Amino acid sequence: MKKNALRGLALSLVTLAAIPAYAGSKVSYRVNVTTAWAEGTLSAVRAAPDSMQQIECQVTAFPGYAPGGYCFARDAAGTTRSCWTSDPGMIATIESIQGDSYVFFQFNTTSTCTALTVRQSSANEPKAQ
Amino acid sequence: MKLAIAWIGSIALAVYAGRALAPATAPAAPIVVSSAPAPAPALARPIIVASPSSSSGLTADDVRAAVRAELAARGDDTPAPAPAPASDPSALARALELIAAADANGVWTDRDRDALRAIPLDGAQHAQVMQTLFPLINGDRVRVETSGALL
Repeated sequence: MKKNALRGLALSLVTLAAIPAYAGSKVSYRVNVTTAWAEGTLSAVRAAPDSMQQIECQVTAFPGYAPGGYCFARDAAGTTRSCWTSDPGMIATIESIQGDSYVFFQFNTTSTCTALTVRQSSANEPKAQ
Repeated sequence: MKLAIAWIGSIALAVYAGRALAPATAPAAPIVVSSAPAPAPALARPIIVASPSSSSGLTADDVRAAVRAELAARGDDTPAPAPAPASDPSALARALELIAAADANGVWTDRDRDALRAIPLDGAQHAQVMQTLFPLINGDRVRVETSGALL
C-alpha cells in the first residue's frame, strides 16, 4: 500500500514536470541611450536595481503660450539624453504616457524631439511599489 | 332687252375672270443691309433658380439665416486665447546664467533645477531654456545629477 502511494506520487511529479509552463511575452526595457535616441519602460526602469536609471517626460503650460514639453533619460552609467518640443501632436503623445508605458524619443542636433513613441503592451511589467 | 342683259353679264364675267387669272402683285419688301439684333422676347415671368421646399416651407432666406446663426454660435464657443502676461526680460538672463554656470561646472543638480524653478519664466523663455540646456546634456558637456525631475 505504502509502495503504491509512493509510486503514485512519483508519477504525479513526473507528469507535472512534463507540462510546459505557458506564459505571455515579457519584455523589460531598462534605459538605453545613444547619440540620437533614448528608450525605456517606466515600470522596468523603476524596478532597476541601481539608483541611477531614470526616464521621464513632462509638459508645462504657460498662459498665452503653447505648452512645452520634454523627455529625459539616464542610463545605468549616468549618460543622459533629453529633447524638448512644443509640437501639439508630441505634447499629446507625452500626455498619453501611463505608469507602465514604454517611451522612445529621438532628437536632432538642436535637441528638438523628432520622434516620440509611447507604447502600452502586455509585455510591459506592472510597476512595483 | 335679253340681248343687253347677256352682253352685260358677259362683260362682268370677263372682268372677273381677268382679275382671277392675273398674277398676284405683292408689295416690294425693303432691302435691309444691316440691322440691330432682334430684341429678346420679354419673359412673362422671372426664372426661379431656387425655390422654397414645398415640404418644409423653408425659404432660401430661412436657410441663410439658420446657417449664419449656427456659424455665429460656433464662433461664440471658441475661447479667446488668454493674453500672455508681461514677461520679465531679466528672468531669461538669470536662467541663462544658471545654465552657463552648469556648463562651467559640468553638472546639473537638484539645486540648479530648484533655482531655475524660482525664476518666473514665460512660455517663450522656458522654451529658450530648454533649447540652451538640452544640447549641453546631449553633448555630454553637462552631467545630470538630479534625483528627481530634470526641470
